Amino acid sequence: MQAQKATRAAIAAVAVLIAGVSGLAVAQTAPPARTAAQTVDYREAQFRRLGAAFKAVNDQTRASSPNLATIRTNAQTISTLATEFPSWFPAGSGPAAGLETKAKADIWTNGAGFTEQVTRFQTAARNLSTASAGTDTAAIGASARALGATCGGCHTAFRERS
Amino acid sequence: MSETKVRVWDFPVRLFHWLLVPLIAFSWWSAEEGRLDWHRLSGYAVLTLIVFRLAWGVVGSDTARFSRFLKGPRNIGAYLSGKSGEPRLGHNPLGGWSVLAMVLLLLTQTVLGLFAIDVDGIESGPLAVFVSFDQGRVAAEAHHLTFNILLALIALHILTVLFYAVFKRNNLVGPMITGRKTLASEPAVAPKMGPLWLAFILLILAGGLAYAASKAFWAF
Repeated sequence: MQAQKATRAAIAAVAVLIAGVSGLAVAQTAPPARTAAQTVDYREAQFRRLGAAFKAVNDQTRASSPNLATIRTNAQTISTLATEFPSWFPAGSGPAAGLETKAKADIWTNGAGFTEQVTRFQTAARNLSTASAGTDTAAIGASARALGATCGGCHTAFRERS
Repeated sequence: MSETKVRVWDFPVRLFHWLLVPLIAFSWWSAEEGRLDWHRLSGYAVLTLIVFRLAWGVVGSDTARFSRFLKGPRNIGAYLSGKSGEPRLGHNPLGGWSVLAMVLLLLTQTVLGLFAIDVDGIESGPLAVFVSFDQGRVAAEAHHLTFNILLALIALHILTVLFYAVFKRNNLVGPMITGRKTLASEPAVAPKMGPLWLAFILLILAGGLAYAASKAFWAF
């Protein structure tokens, strides 16, 4: 009994320690202050990560024997990036600030419309993540296509044509 | 003076030429409209034609052969100074290089398209599975660039044909449609035409290659 108590206390102590350290880590990895131009660069880099992850998913969903582990990993990446997504568009990081970006000013002037699109994207990202936890490749493919449609929908409205 | 008609362009060369016109236009349009499903099909068709033309340029009719129409600088100089002698049949020394340039550019264009990935990682060429996202993006950007070079070459091509029609009173379009050119006199040697069955086989093989590429060579 005594030994068990001690073990519990030790586990609790370790847990507290881990929580504290990870809290510290979170605090340290919080996005550093960026200049407006750096914000655009950062946003583009994040979009490239998003594109790369989605390519990895699509490569598999179109394959004759999809690698489910690859899909899962990348769907998770997309889901995480989708959560962070709104933070890539802080005020003052648009063309109104004279920046070279394909992000349209409407993102900031039509915030509600943008948020609606982003929410759709986040939902679709979660759905892909959920589907990819299973083994139904048809469902995974369908949710990947649905996700792609949310990308396209938002890009038509809020991204300059290249 | 008895005018005579000589066969100069065989059916495969003419078909190749005139199919490229709508296919390039359609490829352009479908890309602009974001209809990448059609764009890919159009690209496979262009790739088929280009691969066929490269093969036909080696084993086809005399006027289709690279070895016959790719000439050195001395020959080009003689042509430009008008000292090239008898009326020529087929591509002139400058036009020959222009043909090669356009064919190779179209080959580059279609192959880059096979590896290209759109900015969202959604649409891609069938061979993009073999490359990373960033490499596929480079391919897409190069695909865009080579198309602009291609447009410039096409403009040059059309201007040259117009120049021949207006200033040299030489109709180049007619023979590319009918295959026959009107000459003042019988040529010393009429160009030898390649057999149609060979062209047909080469076209099927080229189509097979494009089809295999569209399936990523069944590697996945």
